[in-house]
Amino acid sequence: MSVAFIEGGFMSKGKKWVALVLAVALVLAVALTGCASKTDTGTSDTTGNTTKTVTLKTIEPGKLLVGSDTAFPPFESMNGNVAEGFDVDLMKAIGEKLGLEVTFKTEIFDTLIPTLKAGGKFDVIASGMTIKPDRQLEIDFSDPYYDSNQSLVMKKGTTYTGPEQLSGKKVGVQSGTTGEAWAKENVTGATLVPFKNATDAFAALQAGNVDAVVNDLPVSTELLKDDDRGLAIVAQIPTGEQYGFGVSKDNPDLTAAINKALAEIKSDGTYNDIYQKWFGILPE
Amino acid sequence: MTQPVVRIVNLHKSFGSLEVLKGVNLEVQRGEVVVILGPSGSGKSTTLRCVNHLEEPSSGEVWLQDVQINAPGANVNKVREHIGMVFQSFNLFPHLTARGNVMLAQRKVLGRTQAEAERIADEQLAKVGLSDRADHYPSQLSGGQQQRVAIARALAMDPIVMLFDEVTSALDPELVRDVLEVMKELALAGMTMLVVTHEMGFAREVASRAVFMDGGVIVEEGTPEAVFDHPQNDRTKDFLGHIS
Amino acid sequence: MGHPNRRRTLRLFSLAIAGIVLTCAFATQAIAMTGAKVTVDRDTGGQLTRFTFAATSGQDEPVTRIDFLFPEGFDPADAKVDVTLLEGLKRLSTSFEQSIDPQTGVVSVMFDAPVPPKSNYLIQVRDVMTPIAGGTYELPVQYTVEASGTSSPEVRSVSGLTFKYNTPPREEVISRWLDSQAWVKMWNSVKVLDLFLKPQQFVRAVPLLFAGWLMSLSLVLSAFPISIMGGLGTAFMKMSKVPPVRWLASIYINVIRGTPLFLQIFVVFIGLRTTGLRFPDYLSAVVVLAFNSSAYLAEIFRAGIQSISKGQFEAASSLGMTYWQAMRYVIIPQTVRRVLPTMTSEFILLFKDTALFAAVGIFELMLRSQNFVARSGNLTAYVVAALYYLIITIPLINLVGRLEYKLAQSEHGVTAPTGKRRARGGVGPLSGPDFDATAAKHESR
Repeated sequence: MSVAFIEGGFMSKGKKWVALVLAVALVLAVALTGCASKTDTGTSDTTGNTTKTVTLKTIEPGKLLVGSDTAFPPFESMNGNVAEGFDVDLMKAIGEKLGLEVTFKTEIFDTLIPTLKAGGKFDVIASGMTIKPDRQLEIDFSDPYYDSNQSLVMKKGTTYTGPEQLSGKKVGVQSGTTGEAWAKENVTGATLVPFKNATDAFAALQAGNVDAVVNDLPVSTELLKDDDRGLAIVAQIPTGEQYGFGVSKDNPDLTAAINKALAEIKSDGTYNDIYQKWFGILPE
Repeated sequence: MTQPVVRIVNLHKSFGSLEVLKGVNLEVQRGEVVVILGPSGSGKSTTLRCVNHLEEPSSGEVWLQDVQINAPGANVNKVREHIGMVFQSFNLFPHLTARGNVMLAQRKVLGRTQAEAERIADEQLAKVGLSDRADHYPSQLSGGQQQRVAIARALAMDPIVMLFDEVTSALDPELVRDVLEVMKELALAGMTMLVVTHEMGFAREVASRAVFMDGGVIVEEGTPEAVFDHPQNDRTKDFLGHIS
Repeated sequence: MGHPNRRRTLRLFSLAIAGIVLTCAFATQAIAMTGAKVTVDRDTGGQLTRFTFAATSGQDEPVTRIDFLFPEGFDPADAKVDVTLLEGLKRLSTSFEQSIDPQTGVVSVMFDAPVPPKSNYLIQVRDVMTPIAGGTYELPVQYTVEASGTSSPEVRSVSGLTFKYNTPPREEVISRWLDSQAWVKMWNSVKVLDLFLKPQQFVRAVPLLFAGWLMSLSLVLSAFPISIMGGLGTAFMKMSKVPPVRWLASIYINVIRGTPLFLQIFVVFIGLRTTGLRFPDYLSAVVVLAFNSSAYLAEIFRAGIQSISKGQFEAASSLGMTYWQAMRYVIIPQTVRRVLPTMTSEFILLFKDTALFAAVGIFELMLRSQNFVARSGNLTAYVVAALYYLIITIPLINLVGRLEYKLAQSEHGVTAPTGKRRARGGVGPLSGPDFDATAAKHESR
């Protein structure tokens, strides 16, 4: 309630400063009228349902920089130069609980983890990233926030009989994803063609450069809503994978804080609201 | 009188709005050496270049024997085969040796065999005194040597007339003599020549006729003695007064 | 399909376990689980491998326990188990315990509560050491169905679950040997070296990227001769006396030079194909490269031809040569000598530009190295790719320098400045306003 919100990570430096000044002014105004007792970043305990936090270590004090491959609707996509989507809203809600201003930064999926590890660019990954043991060796993950599966997409009208059908064909995947790993293990005899992001892979499928695309089911569903593409999900692949937010192993406090905020958001209904906004239904 | 080798009738030439030739009439008979004199900008080089159609006349007629070069549909390339031209800036082909320079057009234009072209090239190079430089590239030759190769190149085509466009102007004074010597021998051998030059000595000694041009027209013409020693026109007197 | 005696041991094994639960496993042979399969995440043996078992249980099968009977030679002693259960696409929560018998190679998953029938099972057994020899192996799986009413617990088995992998190639063996070397460990303890010059990854990347290098080279070698012809043709069109021909050439040159190659690639690979016009990938790539490079070469050639003095053309004409004879025997040979350095530079640029085809899935050097980096999380492959590019470019860059030097000498008959070579597109025999064709290019791409 005391933090001004700025969308997107693509504002000019000048604009950011203006926003920051406005935010500080707002906080001061609220404090002076006696509505809040403290102005410390991330600390507020007046209403009882907000989080009580220690001051969190982030790259820019008072800010939570989020790395994301913003071509993955409905989880994240660019609306003009502003990031939007399920992950974005969720992250903002978490940021609100933590008293941090959330800024999204676009980064190619397969470089998210190395960049987070290297440090200095963003504090957390929110990019529809599946929690996987080999990734857990590199970074920490928050508690899962979304259950996902994979899908196989082909040209509309294609009958799909099984992975054997793809032998000798080209299968598009997004580089570094679980879809790629699944295809590698299960579609033997096919050439895997990696793409930077899911939308590029679908464009290639539309153009006929690949014969099929393996991709996260909710994203395929979202992207194929537009019937004009002439593509269809020919198989749903149950993988039961779960998305989590990635945090550097050097910042366990942040992971803990995000988990706490996530739990709160789930219990106070915010999670359901955001879920309904982006998927049109309530989570089961 | 026999048919002239070159006949220029009422030749006009303009570059844009600038009229350079304002009605030139000139005939060159077989075996004649005609020297064209005149201040710069008088149109003497342009006249020469019109003869082999490097410049297209604005109006008038240019004939080589019985062929009008500037008639519509005339085969200019065919006519040029018979007109040798030597330039002030040599214009040797730098990627070919001296011999290669002399051979190229013989092979490609006249269709001579390799052996024949080579024989003639060596003959012509010998005539200009450069037998020992046949395998040199132009960049390895002095200006005077280059110009002599250029003369040999033109002669190898068996021209019926030779055009010389200020061929010694770009040479160091000590190299001029060799070139003039070659030209003199050529004249003595009976070659029909049209020469634009500032070399008065050469003109006096070799020319059968001197033509003085100014302002795009021929002002005066006659034997060298008549034009040089007893000029009738004031502009000729003025010009000769300046250079001598 | 495994050795007979190994199979025998396995059967004995199954019998032993069956005996424990007082049921005869072989009598049943009921394959009630459907869609069962086993996959592995590695394609070569001799390393820690993740096994994924996927199946759907039958209508009457509340499962309490699943056993994986790893064949002889497989070592699951340090294995870890992950279980994902789904009902359709919906994830079910579960809790279980795992046990491993290193002697027999059996990994067991015991569910705290029976898993409801008709569930999708996804069980991952990670970190199982595989034997190095490649081949097709079988992983027998047994599962226990909960006792119900009259019947006692029953062990059922799933057989015929095969998986395969290859014997590791030489570079893989070398790489693993390097893993154990002390100097390698020391070397890799320096973060930068580990990230960019990890010996193990280097050894792996060299043979893997070689094919990409050949692809890049072959693309540019196929395209460049076409570019030379196209460029020459366009140059003559640009110098044509017929205005529409000249305009056509100008439009082509300006559009190609005025837009990024990247965009041109997308137009052909995505745009044209979406409209139904498609050629094979390789052909398309060659066409885009040739089309692009022709425009640059056209300007290089035109500038080169126009830099030849007018006197050369006049001399040729005065000897009776036609326009095309003069071009063919006098102007072009001189132009070639003059444009050779710039043309070589264009070749170098074009070779490097093949990297852009990574975006449309042509397996050239860049895409291969990107894949390698994405898979390994290590940047050494980029260094290897750089070396592959340099193998071609460095000698050519040298050649350009020598050509320029020779040209300067032959045209001016003087010794050109040695030591420091001129900057690209800088002062040379081709300098001056006419000869900025490539200078512009260096900026634009």
